[in-house]
Amino acid sequence: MIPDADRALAPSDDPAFFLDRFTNILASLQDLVNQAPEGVRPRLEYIWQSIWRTRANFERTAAG
Amino acid sequence: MAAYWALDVHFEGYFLCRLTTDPDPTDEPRGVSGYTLALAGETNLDNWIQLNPSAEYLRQNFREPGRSLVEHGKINLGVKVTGTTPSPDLVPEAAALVGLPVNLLPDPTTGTPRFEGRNDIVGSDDTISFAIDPFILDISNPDGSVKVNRQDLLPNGNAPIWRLPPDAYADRVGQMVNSQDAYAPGPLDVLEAIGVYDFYGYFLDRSRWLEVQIARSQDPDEVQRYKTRLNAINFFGDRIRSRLGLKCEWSFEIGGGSVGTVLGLHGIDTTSPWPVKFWMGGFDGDLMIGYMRGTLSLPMLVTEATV
Repeated sequence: MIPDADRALAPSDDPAFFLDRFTNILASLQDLVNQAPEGVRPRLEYIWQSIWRTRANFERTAAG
Repeated sequence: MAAYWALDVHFEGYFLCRLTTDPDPTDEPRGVSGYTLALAGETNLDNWIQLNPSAEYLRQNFREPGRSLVEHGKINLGVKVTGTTPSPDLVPEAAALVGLPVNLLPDPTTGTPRFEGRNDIVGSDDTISFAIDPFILDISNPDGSVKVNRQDLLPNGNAPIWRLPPDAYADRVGQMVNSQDAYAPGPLDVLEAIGVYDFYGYFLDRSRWLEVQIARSQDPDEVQRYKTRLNAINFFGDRIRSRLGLKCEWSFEIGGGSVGTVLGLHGIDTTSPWPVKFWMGGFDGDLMIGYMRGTLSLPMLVTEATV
């Protein structure tokens, strides 16, 4: 699903633009983690951790 | 009188690591797009660096001809202490270490030790630079009377490595070592350790062996397993062959605020950091074994000993 704010597909060079979206993805994924059956949850948690880390890497790079 | 500052414990041998390979996600359980695969009847790929895998684990996951090569003494599977400096002649207690298994133990929170990469998010697949995490080095005999054990703790209360900035664990990251000889397929110490100088020939022999097994076997499941391995070797070609010449070197100090445990050896400083240096490489992506060689330096509280 594409959020309304992204439908214009406007380019951006503002790091906050991307960091906000990472944050939204993490929130959505956390909802899935909370609902996931036991057998699936570890892999979703792993994905959540990897996206959290990707966001942190991006934030560090953006800060120079 | 001979003066020494540390007891260097040397170790080497083959380890087993059923690791996922790029471009599979690092938590891919069976192997889909990388050159390593879990075959029918084998447990999931677990990325667990096992320096001395259990007999039960090997029975389910260690493929032929690996098992036969071990039985015939052609592969020294299991990382063991090979000697010390000063030698046991000078430090008699060190004799008890020689031959003992060297292990990387799991951490109750972090899990089993693995090469932390996460598809270039934590380590680097491109430069094959990974931290091993957790890192709990253990040398013990079965009755527990001899023990050398210490965990290297990460900053921020041993925070999960994925939560830490790369600078926080930079010393823990291994670095790939290239061959000094442009005509050699890999660093000479790796080639000597695994006794392989012709990677193409090595995997050609493996392919021929697999073809013979396919022709001989009456078990359709077994035939499919052999075919899958043969296909992986043929499909990935130089990528799987070149890993035999891989050498990654780690050199750091075990500590980070931890205290070591030492039993059966006197005069070891358990609070100062313990330098450890080792390489891992010579990886056979079909059998999923590689070679490890290194030295753990145990600082001495007493700097002089009577010869």
